[in-house]
Order: sequence, then C-alpha cells, then structure tokens
Amino acid sequence: MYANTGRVLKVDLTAGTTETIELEEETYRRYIGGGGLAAKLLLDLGDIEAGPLDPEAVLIFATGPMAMTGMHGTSRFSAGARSPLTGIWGQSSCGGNFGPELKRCGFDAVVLQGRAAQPVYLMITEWTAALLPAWRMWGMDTFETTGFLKKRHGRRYKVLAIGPASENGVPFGSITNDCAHHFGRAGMGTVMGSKNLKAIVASGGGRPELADPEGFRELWDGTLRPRIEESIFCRTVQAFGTAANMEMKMMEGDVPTRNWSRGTWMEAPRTLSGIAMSDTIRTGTRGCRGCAVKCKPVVRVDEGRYRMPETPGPEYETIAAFGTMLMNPSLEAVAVANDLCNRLGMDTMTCGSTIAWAMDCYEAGILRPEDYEGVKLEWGGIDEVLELLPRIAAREGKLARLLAMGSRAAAAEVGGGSERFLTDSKGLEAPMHDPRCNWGDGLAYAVSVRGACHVSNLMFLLEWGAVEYPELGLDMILKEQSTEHKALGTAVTSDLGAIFNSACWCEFPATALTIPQLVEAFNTVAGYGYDIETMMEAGARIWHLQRCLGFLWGATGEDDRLGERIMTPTGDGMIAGSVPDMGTMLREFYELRGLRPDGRPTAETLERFGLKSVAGLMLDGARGS
Amino acid sequence: MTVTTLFTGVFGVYMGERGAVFEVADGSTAGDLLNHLGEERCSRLPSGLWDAENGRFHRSIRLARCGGPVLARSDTLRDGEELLVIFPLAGG
Repeated sequence: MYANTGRVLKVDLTAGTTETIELEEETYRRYIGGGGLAAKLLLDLGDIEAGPLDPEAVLIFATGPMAMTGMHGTSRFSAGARSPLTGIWGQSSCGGNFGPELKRCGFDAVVLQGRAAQPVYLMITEWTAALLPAWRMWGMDTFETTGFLKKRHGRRYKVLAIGPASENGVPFGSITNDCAHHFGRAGMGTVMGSKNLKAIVASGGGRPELADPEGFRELWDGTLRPRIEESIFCRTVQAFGTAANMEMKMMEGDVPTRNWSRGTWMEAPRTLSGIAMSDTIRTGTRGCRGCAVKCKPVVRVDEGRYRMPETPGPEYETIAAFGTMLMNPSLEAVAVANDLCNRLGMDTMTCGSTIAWAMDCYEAGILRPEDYEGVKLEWGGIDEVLELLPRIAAREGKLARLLAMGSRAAAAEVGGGSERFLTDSKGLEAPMHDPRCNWGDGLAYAVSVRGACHVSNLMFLLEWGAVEYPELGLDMILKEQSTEHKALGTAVTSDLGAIFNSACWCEFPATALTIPQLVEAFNTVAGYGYDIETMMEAGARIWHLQRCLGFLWGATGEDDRLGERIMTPTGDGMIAGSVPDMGTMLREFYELRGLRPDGRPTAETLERFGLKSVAGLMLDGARGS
Repeated sequence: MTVTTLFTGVFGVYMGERGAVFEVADGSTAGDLLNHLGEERCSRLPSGLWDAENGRFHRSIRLARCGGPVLARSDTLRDGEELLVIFPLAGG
C-alpha cells in the first residue's frame, strides 16, 4: 500500500478504549480517502439508526492520499458525520496541518463513537492513542484550548479543538485546527462536543511510501508545481485573498446582499473587498502546511471600537456573511465577528446567514423586540450582532437560543411566513455566490450531498469560465442565466468535487491541473492504477453513497431545492428578474445521474457503482421512501 | 465609433487603471474589442490572464454592458456604450 497507512484508529469514548482497524487497498482505490473514506467508514462501522448527537453516532476524521507529498493544497483533511444541523450527511473540509500529522502517526482516519462520561481529549502519537481528562479545558474557547494543549505537550503537537458553542449543542459548531483553520460547516464540532471530546492532539514521525517517488517528483517539479504557481486563480487569491474580486462579483450580482434581497450594493467592495483589506487591516498572509498559495489573511485593527490584536482574518464567505448580508460595510467589524466565531467555535456562514434571516424577520414584524428581551436586529446594526455572538454560543436568552438553532429550524419555530426569508438547501445555509447570477450554482446547491454547497462540486468555477475539462466534455463557454449544459456540468463536477474532497486537495491549486495530470498524480503517489474513467467512477461512487446516506436519514427529492428567498428575483442589479429554472435543470440532472423522477437512485445505478449494500438499505426502506 | 471599457476589481488592479476609451470600427464585436484591448494594453497583465504568445485572454474574460447582459464574443457593439470587462475569478 502506498501513500496511505491502511490503518484507521477507532475510539470508543463510552468504554474509553481504542483499537486499530486495517483496511484493504481496494477500499482506498474505490473511496480515495477524506470525505469518500469517511462515508464508507460510517456505512461500515457506524450505526445508521443513530441520531446525530446520540452516543452511537460516529464522527470521522480522514486524510487524503496526497497528505504527505508536500504538494500545494494537499494538507487538507475531512470530517464526516450525520449533521446535527441538517440531519443528513454532514461533511466539512479543513486546511491547516493536522491531516499530515495524523498520517505521520500511522493513521489515515479516526473513527469516534460513544460518549465519554467526563470531558476528555484524545492524544495520538505514532501508532498509539490515549484518552485524557479535559475537565480543565471544558468551557475554554478554541484558542485558549489550543494554547493550553500546546503548553502541556509542546508546539510540535497539532491541535483540533471545539469551543463553547459545540459544548452547548449549537448545531453549527465548528472545529479549529491550531487557531487558524476550521471545519466550519454542518456542525461537526457539535458532534464532537456531544461525545464530551474537547480536543485531539497529534504528533508523529512516520511517512508512508509513495508508489513511484521518482515519477512523482518529476511530475511535481516539471509539470504540476509550475502550473499551480502560474495559475491566475492561485496568483489572485495569493495577492488579495479569497475576497479579491468582490467588486467585480458585486457588479455581476454574485454577492448576496441584505439577505439575498438586493442585486447590488456597490459601496460594499470599497471597504470589504480583498483589495481593500490589503490596503487596511491585513498585516500578512498564511497558508496551510506546504502550500505556497497562502490565501489566508492575517489582520490587525489598531484603533477604534473594533481594535483587535493580530489574528487570522476573515475570508470571502465570512466577509459576505457578516458584511453584505447584514448591510455592514465595516471590514473591521467583520474581522471581530470572524474572530469571535472562531474562538467560540461557530460556523460563520450559518451564523451570519441566520442573523440576516432574523433581520428580515424583524423588518417584517415577525420577530418583535418586546418578545426577545428588547433586542432588535437591524440592517447595518453590527454592534448588536457582535454582542449577540457569545450569547448564541452560550444559548443564553430567548433570541440567542432561537438563532442558535440555525435558520431553517428557527423559521420552523417562529413560523409566521418567516420561511420566505430562508436561503438554505436541506437546512444548510447557502454559500455566498448567487444562483440568480449563475443558474448552474442553483442546481449544484440543490443536489449537493450536504445541503447548499459550492465546494462539493466545481459548478461555479465552470460557469465562470475558470476551469475547462475537455476530456470530460466540459470545454464549452456557459451562458450565466441559462439551463444549457448546467445539468451535465453539475453532474460531472459533482464527481470532481467528490474526488477533490476525498483526495483532500484544495480547489485553488487542484483546479489548475488537467484531468490527465490528476490521474497521474493519484497513480504516482498512491498507485491507484486509475485511468480517467475509473477515477471519475470513484467520484461518482462517493457522491451516490453520500447522497444515499442523506436519503436513509430522511431526505427526499423534494429537498433538492433552494430556499424561497433565493428563488425570489431581485429588482436591481445585473441579476434583476432572474430566477434559476430549477425544474428543467433538475429533470436533466436526475436523468444523467441515473436517478428516478423522485430523486432516489435506481437499483441499477447503485449496482453500477458497487453500492449493493446501500441499495439493500434503500429498498428496505423505510426511511426516506 | 467610441466605446468605454471599465476595469474593476482585480482586473483593474492588474491593469493599473480603472478604464479606457477605445475607437473601434463600425460593426465591431465584443471579441474584436477584447482582442484590441489585449494587444494594445495588456503587456502588463500576468501571463495566466493574457496569453501574449497566442494573443488571447484567459477564457473567463468577457464583456458585459454596464447593468446589462454579458455579451457573446460575436455580439456587435454600439457607439457610445459603456462596457465592463468581466474577470469572474473569485474565492469562496
């Protein structure tokens, strides 16, 4: 076996025991690693009947085969579990340094099951692991926890930590890696908290062999590295971060504004864009382990009421979630919101989106100050939001408890027509690219395996003309507000998204490569023996498995849709009047994917990808049918 | 005829200016203007954005009417109009 260790660490938190499970090489070839491997392990080792926060539920961290290669963008790793926010397959990807360190400890993945009687943390060293008491850390924020553990064990230990939000059961709790990188989406931190697991530390010294070290070195130095470093995409985010092009995107109508009710707000990029950040609060940039792109800003605010010391800064999604979505033009305030969420351990995207939903509800009179401790959230009122964030994490007070549910559950709680302000799919609030600008995004969000997501697929990049894959039939220029080719594009790039999230390869560098180059990378690194067809088949297998998990947990084709607010046209900007034609795109997509008109896979489809056991569960069916 | 192009966001930073006015022949298309723009002023752009050897922009670069639709390369330009150069790459 190459690039992978073949070993999975299984931890029973109830019993306080650990064991090592060995996997066959074929499992990696079929599920790659990362998110694909996590879904496979959940299916094989987990209790499908368990609720997201039941002790029997499993939480899995998995690395990818490229983790030790030093290639740009390959130190990411995945977390997978049934999401407490959505109830379906929850997956999150994190940059940083923990993935390679886990591999250095001799494990490709960690499977966590059960619930410790008292708070604990997991310490992983080469081939061994132990559970240790964490009662002193319980209640600490993620930065304090990380500092505490590094002081105790040394800086060479890499740390994953949850904050108070996850301890308190906020369903969009995040997990922080060394204070700078986050599993933000879908509440993976909350699952960790439900197990009374405060943190994981890891340090190892192993290094799996590569299948063809010389071939890989030649490929990397001669082809992949120059291609990535010359990529205009990588160079742009390297220079100005992920919010680099906010001005352009705002003009196009791609940046959600005022909870997706406006098509443009041209004042915003002057203060909120990556260019503005580089002129104001940005003091430097950081990258993930081994990555030369270094797209992550470091910021400091020297004066004024948002003064803060140097700390990891907000990225595009957070800038939109706490900036344009709330009509807040202050980048400094966004930086404070970002820092608070990171320390408290909350997903900035769900948190900001839920607050934006609440602002709409206040404006419509559905939420009234007199019913919520006199608090009123108003567009642009960022100071009230900053005061509210710690209370959301603590679930303290009526309004905070409501917002701590996430927008979909909160809307179900208050009713009164508040559903019309929702911006999610399957309970996961949409990322900050507007499907009314690029219709394919709408389809991609609706059929993403974890709910509205733009990194489960590459549809947004395809639609922007940022990528082309002639070997996969995707070399056309797409028209933004059209259904043409969108089903094909979403289908193929969903497979590519599954491949990237399973290889744990960041999209910025990975999309600089051609399909044959990706195949060659897998083969020289891990010896998977792929050709284009078998690599893409692995992506499709993973997508189907993750979607089926959602269906087993109650999702249906009816859930392949977008929140009502996104399906409402704006009256201004370049997207005025545009609403994606979801019906046409979905019909074409189901047909291309081998799905029935009700969105469920046919038995033939599952058989084709070797998912017979899943087919059995689906047919038994009771859940989700 | 005369058209004005606006360079916004990162494209404007790379160009070092916020826009330019071009004299183009009657009946010129969006594709013609992009070629003209590239050949005349884009030596300063990174190679990934303007391929000087082959004389073409990155495939994502397009033109749009300000406040209006994105143009196909074959769309004919109108005298006096304002156009936006779209460079849609962004992070997430």
